[in-house]
Amino acid sequence: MAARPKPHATGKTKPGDISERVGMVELQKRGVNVEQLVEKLIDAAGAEFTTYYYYTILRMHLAGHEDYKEICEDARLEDRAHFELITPRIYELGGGIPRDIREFADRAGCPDAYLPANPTAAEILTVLLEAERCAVRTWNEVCDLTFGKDPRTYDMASRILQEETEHEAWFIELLAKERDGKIVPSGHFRRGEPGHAPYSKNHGFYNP
Amino acid sequence: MPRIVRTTAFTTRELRRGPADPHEGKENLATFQVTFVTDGQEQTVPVADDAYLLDAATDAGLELPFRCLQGWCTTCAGKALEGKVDQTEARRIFPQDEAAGFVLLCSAYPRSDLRILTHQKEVMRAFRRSHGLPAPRG
Repeated sequence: MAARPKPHATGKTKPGDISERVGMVELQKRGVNVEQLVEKLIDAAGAEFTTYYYYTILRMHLAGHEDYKEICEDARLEDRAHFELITPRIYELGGGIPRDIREFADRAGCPDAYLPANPTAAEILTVLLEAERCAVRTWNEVCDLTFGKDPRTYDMASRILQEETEHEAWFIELLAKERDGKIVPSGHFRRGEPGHAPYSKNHGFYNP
Repeated sequence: MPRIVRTTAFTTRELRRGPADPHEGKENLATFQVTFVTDGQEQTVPVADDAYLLDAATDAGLELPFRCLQGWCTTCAGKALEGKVDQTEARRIFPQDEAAGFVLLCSAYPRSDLRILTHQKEVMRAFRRSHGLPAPRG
């Protein structure tokens, strides 16, 4: 019987060599375009960061809709947690976030979630919903790129995707009722506390 | 460098307000013939002047890439080989983009018959980089 290939048992990294990372070489051997993946992660991190910023404003303008505010707050803080989770992975893969925050925002993979000109609850919920949908598409793409090849990035992306998927469902529920008077349950249960991020923060590194 | 960029707060179909039926109250709706060119294959689709090009292509069974649906990410980018579009609803489109023929299909309306080369994301992003204009890179 022919020996099965063992990609983990090959490679040219010498003991003590700090010029390359086996953690990257192994991905390349499995067909991951690490350079492209890092660029995609930086775009995604930019989107999470700007979304966190813009959700702060959207939340403020949901005054009087305290239930909406709290759910927006959960999404806001979880998007910040996503930024915190992605950034270490970018550096592990030999990349980095831009030194200039304007450059970071400009290359974000999803648009700024601006406060609408007519900031009614329905309009704000619509902006929130579309922001989440862009994130869901982004993280599905990262999962597709890494599945079966890069377990660490896949695990991170799937954790984030789980929360983004929940956020989308929440905002569909709220918008359906607010705008159309329809009941479209999301399956939402209250988070443990603001910023709970049950999927993206259950890996216990410091992430307040 | 001062950048000239058009931004609008609302662009996606969900964000559009007004009559539930987009044709309501528009008796003189124009329809244009839009030819999408993908990998050398052509498909011509009739598109009303108030329909986004991506929606019309999708409704006709074409599977074109997209992500943000707000005219920002450039995933849906195409290049107009012939004809005119209105993409004032795109969240971020630069005069240089338009001068070079780039079209963000998710937020562009036809304003004449068109021939559009699809799948131009990488080309458009390279164009942006070469002109010092921002775009996602991944």
